[in-house]
Amino acid sequence: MKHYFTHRRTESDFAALQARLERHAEQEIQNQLRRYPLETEEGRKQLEAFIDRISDRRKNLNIKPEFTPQVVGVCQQILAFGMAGLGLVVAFGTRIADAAPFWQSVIKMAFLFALNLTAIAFFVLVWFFVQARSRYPFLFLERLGNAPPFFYYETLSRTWKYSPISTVGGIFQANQKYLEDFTGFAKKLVDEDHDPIQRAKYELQQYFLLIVYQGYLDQYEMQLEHIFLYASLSAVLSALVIWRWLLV
Amino acid sequence: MTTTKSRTGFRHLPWRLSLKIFVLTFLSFLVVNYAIVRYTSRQPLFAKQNNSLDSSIKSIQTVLAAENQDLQSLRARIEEIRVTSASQRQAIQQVGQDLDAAGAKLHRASIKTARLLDSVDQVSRAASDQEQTLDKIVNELADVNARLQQVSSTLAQFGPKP
Repeated sequence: MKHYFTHRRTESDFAALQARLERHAEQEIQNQLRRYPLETEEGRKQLEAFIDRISDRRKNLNIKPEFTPQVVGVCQQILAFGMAGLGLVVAFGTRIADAAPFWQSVIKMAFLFALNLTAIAFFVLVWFFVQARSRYPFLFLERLGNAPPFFYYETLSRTWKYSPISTVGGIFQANQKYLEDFTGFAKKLVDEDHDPIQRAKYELQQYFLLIVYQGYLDQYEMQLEHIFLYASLSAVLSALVIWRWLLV
Repeated sequence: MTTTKSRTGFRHLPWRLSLKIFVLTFLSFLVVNYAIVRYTSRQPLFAKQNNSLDSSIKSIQTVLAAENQDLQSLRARIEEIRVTSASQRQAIQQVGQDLDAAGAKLHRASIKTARLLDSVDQVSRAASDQEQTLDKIVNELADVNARLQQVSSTLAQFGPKP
């Protein structure tokens, strides 16, 4: 990346470079699609079959998280119980001194373990929300992100204001944009219908984007699962070690 | 997309389980937990009892237990006094009520006595009036008697002789 710039990089530098790379990639994709001989009937049929095949594959992609909800749910419960446990410790902490020394040390170890687990659950939840904010970098692409027929980010203009406060001016502006975007959308779809290369590009584009999104989902899921696995096992073991070492 | 092989012979997997990462995580937790226990050992929750202080703590506990026993006996005594004073207060209240009733009776008796005194005074005044009247009558009778004697003596001097 460094060799692209000779000065301190700004966002506009990155945007300009990204636009260049995007145009180059688009050209490459167009070249690949033009390998179908569209001047012949056979070539056109081959391209149509390609579009259908890609469309089927796109529809059959599995892009749902498998165990993120379980990890997040467990963390929510741990966080809730952990906070309740901290409240109990604050309320009944003074009574611990009444227990026998061995049971005092066990209670302290349990408190340490609960503190660790609560911190882990809190970190996993925060990390989950950080992930949620960063799994769509292709939304910043100008031409090869989401294909316009498939996702509103490319179908609608980016200047829409999704404001819950409904004013007269706001309603008018929203409907003005709606009509403008609808006109453009209709033109784009009709153009696409007359241009099989463009249609194939859109299908290919969305199919690939969903695969990338699947990658984000799966890898982020693995991140969460690994953070929880390593951290919770480490918390158990370290609490036991500290118990034998310092508390008993 | 190429099938690059790592040194162990398997393909690279981004989130493959790693003993090295696990050991590093465990050590991190150990350090953090050690710091927590060391820090909080100054607080009552994690304070470990020191052997050299055990005897003095036990003696303090014994003294506290004895004082606690004394306090409990004092509390029982106070409770007993409270019960006794309550019954005494009830008796005094009863006496007060009785005195109030007797006072009311005395008041009524005093009113009646005053009325009797009034009537006795009236009778006494009437008796003295009658006594004065009688005295007057006696005086008048004495006058009459005196006059009668004068008349009799006069008659004896100047009247017909037998």
